[in-house]
Amino acid sequence: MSAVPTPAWADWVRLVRALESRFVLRQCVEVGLAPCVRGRVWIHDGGSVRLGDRVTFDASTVPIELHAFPGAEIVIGHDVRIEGGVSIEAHRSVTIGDGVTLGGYCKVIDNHFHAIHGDRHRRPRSAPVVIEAGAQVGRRAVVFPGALVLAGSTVGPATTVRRANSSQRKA
Amino acid sequence: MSSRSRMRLLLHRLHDDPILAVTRIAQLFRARVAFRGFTVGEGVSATGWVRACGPGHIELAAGTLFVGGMVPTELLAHQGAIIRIGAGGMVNYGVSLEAHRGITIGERCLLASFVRVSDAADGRGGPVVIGDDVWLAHGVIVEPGVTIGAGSVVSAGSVVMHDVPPGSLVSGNPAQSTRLAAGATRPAMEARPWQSN
Repeated sequence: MSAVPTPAWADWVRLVRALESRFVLRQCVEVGLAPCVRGRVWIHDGGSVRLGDRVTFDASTVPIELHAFPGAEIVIGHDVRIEGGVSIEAHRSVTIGDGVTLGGYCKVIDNHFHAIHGDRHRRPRSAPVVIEAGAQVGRRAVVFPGALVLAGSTVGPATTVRRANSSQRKA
Repeated sequence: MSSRSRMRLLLHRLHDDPILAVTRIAQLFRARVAFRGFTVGEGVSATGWVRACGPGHIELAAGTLFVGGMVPTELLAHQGAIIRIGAGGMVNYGVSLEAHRGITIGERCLLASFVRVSDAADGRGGPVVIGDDVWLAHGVIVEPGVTIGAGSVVSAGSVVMHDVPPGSLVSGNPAQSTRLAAGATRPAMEARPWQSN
């Protein structure tokens, strides 16, 4: 039994896809091997965005937003999968470990953007966010400033994480 | 401010910073187009895609800013319904307001991205009233018949099922008071960076 031969044009399709992914991610400071982008990924505001190897952005439904403000840093590890509608906003630093999955429409912020007391338009201080390796963040979840999502843990859909999510750590 | 002096101001800006002035004019124009047929105050602007539809009424007071983003903001007013938004507010992208009777939002409100306010669901219904200076953070869902007091803050991802007293900070599903925001009933909001006029 012979294997089904791959048509020659499939290689060209793959090449064009790869070039397209690189083009979409052209504003990143560092892009690892074999990034895969479907749909639109918006990279705003001139901070540094670093991507590891084999990062997948599946924005075929809704765009993905990576907002790194000037001087801020978004570091994304290897084998990370990010789904459509995710927005990562960094004023200082957001670190996402290897093998993390971010579900659709989830939000990772390291700043609340508005002060609770006094002038609402004053920006409060930032607190770095860390999502450790292997964590899974569910759809529509919100990761707050200063949060630490522990390695291998699961954040449920539409929930929020404010500090270390020790209660959700796997046994 | 009269329309004549506004025009003069815009012309001055066109000279000082043409790109900013043209952007601002485009934002004002975009809001006019998006809310054609509805009552729109002066200086209402939109930086992105906004959809306003339905046979009901939509009333926007002066200076509301609709921020564009990955998902359009939608305002839907059914037959006989009215959506009112007070002056000087900011509405982020992906916000969905659906009124069967009435949604009233006070002045200087902040509606963050993906906020959903509806005044009828699952056979329940009742007008929603949101007071002045309220901040609804990302992804907040406001259930029908709820009144949110002035100066309150609703934390991200909360589902507001009961009335919220003025000046409180609520979070969770259902949203419960976490601590009273001290003196937050009337925050000073003088500096509004998007409203330079």
